[in-house]
Amino acid sequence: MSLPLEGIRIVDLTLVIAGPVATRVLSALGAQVIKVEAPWGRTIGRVHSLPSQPGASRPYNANPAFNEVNRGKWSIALNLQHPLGKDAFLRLVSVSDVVIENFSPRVLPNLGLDYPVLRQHRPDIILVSMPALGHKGPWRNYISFGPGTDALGGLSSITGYEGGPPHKPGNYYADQNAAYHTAFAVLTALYRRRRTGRGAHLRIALREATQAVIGEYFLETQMTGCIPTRMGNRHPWMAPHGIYPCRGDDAWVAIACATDQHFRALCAVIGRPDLASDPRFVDSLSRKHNEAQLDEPMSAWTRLHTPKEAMHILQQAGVPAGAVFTVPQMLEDPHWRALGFIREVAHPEMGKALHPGLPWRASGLAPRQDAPAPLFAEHHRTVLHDLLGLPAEVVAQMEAEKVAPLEPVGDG
Amino acid sequence: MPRDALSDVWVVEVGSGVAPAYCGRLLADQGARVTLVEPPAGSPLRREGPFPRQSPHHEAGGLFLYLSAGKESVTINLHTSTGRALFLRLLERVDVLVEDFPPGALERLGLSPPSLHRAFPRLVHLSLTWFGHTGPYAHYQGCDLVAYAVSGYAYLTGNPDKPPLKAGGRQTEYQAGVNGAMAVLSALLARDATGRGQWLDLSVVEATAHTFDGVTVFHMAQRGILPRRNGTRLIQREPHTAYPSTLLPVKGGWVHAHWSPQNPEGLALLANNPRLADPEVLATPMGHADEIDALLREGLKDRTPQEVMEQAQELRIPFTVVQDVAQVLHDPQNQAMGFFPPVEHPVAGRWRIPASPIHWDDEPYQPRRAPLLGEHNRQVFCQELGLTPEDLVRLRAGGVL
Repeated sequence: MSLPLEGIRIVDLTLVIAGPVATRVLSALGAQVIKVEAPWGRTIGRVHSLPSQPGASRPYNANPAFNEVNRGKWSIALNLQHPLGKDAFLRLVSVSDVVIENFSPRVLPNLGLDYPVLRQHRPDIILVSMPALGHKGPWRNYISFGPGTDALGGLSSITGYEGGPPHKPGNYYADQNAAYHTAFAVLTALYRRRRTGRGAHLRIALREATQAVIGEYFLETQMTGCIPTRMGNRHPWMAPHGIYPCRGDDAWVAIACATDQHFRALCAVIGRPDLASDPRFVDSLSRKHNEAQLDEPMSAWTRLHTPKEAMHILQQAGVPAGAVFTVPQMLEDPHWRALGFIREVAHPEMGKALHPGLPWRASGLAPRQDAPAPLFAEHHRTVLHDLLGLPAEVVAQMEAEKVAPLEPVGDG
Repeated sequence: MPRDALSDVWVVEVGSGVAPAYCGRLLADQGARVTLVEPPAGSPLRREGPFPRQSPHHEAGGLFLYLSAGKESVTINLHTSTGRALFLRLLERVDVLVEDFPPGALERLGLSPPSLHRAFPRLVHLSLTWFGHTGPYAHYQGCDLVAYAVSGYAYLTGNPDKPPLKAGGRQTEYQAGVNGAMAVLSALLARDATGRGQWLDLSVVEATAHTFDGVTVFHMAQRGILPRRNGTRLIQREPHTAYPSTLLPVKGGWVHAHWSPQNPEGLALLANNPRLADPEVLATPMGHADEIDALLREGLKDRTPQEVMEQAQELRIPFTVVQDVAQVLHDPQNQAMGFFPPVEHPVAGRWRIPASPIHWDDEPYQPRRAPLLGEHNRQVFCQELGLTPEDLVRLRAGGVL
């Protein structure tokens, strides 16, 4: 026993981002995650659209998007529409703890692989589904990727510049957010099964996970009768609260004052102690009302400093401030290095690459973070032959008929 | 009846921010007993709005009502030695401690993480801090905006010709909460095998950076391409990158437009323009992003967001409406899923509180309300810790409860 999920086997049917990231976390915590891939290859590359590593002999193994979200897993390819493929899949289910999928809600039933069927093969199986909008209701069959659920769930409507159109956060925020809710749900179901012996069918609706992380806004609209909208980098009551220009190209620092003490310290740092006693800024209500008038005096000071200089000077004076880090700056920053969050992992086709790890340090069992993604069907023999005990001639037939191919069928 | 998944787990939550509160709410929703330890004046979360009729009341804050649903509340003044002794007696009984004291604060109370671990070897202790307990910025002050900047996410959000943009709400803290809940469950599972708890040191900045789409940002950076904000489009800008994935104005509102894996040529049908199915456009969609935007805007301009979503979905194209918060609260899908059940609170009144995004086939979600300040003092201190009602009166008079 060296990891929290040692001995847990997870069958991973998920595609794109939210599902694979959830199982990546479970893999880092020690589960054996077996990715059951489609015979026709790794379609995620098209979604992420980063080209494969130039010069790779087998490009489908050098897809950075796939390799990022599938670190630490095993891979087999199975055609689930073929009787042999389906049989192998159900044998795998019978020796597994969790099956996770993020197809649209009709796919598993259409394959004849819904929860009652899986339970016949493994009575305490935990099946996890990730419908975009839910498993019932008028929009249950609507399709959406993560960013579309930001829009439909309200997050886009409260993200954006003051007075400007709706926006969206980062690239795939909603997917990652749903992934962590899903990984938490799987851990919970494993905990319950250990206590009660019961499996479960869990469903995590992506859009609801987005709604859950803006929950207070739904209270706000009920309590005030107003519709919350976009306030850029401003805050409902903290002021000043914003991102200010620094010395250098596209260089910025975030500064936020929650208290009078923060504000007095800020005024001293920027050489404007007069502002601390100015009636326009004397308490947080006045500052909130006149916050735009603070932008210029603050920017006059921040423009003289790099983001990190500004952060250090302000923090040492007791003002909450943070440099707006670029990714290359994070890679060389002493604090980010001390945290150990960014990991270097070697992959046989890609060489060394940097990846995010898990965001905590544990005093006991340390997570496993540094295994690369599998090559296509890398664990074909280990799983079909060694684990499931399929006779060599059946495995050979599955290879020949491309039910369990060793190379993607088609262009991969 | 709450769910039974975590029914043998007792959690103590001490905190002032959203991160521990959301972590506790996730655990409570799965059946854990979560006891909020508040200072006698109440958790700082109670003082944050929104409030009904914008009139502040410590039992009626919307943030607190949402995040504390299903929890118990006891009051302990940790700045008194009697209060700390009581807190230690409570820790003896519980499985999990979730807290967000800044580094050094627990030590000043005589409750350092190593000493807690020694005294309560089975305790799972989750520390949620802005920058972590280690590293040169550990003692820096944070907030959602500052964490968004330091995590690298701010630089990736917003328009290319404008300053970086914070996401709406308090996303950094929510991420610490949900990542913290994963950490707690992993430690509880490990404890089954080892008999020992763990101290988990989780920072908000890392939890936020964990929501990067890691491949894009780290892979681009390694290739010498600076990952940078790109409006509502994806950050990758190579011509063959998939497109659209963006927000577009239509009649009376906005939609999220997204290309379709099932029906890539379908955009031409949706917007009545064959150019959108031109092989040249389909091969290098990001290279034609401005043109695609213009064709979609023109083709969809006389349709409402709702009409666009319905027509697109029929073609298996994943367009969605940009809904405001009030629309989300009332939309037919949320009604059908029951995501906003009404919850009665004796002081705050009846409000619709967001439910759990995690659905079990055999245990429906049961809406529960947030606790009144100190509502469970008697239950926890008398029934669990063996204090008498007279003790409670004395401790209250002494400023301990």
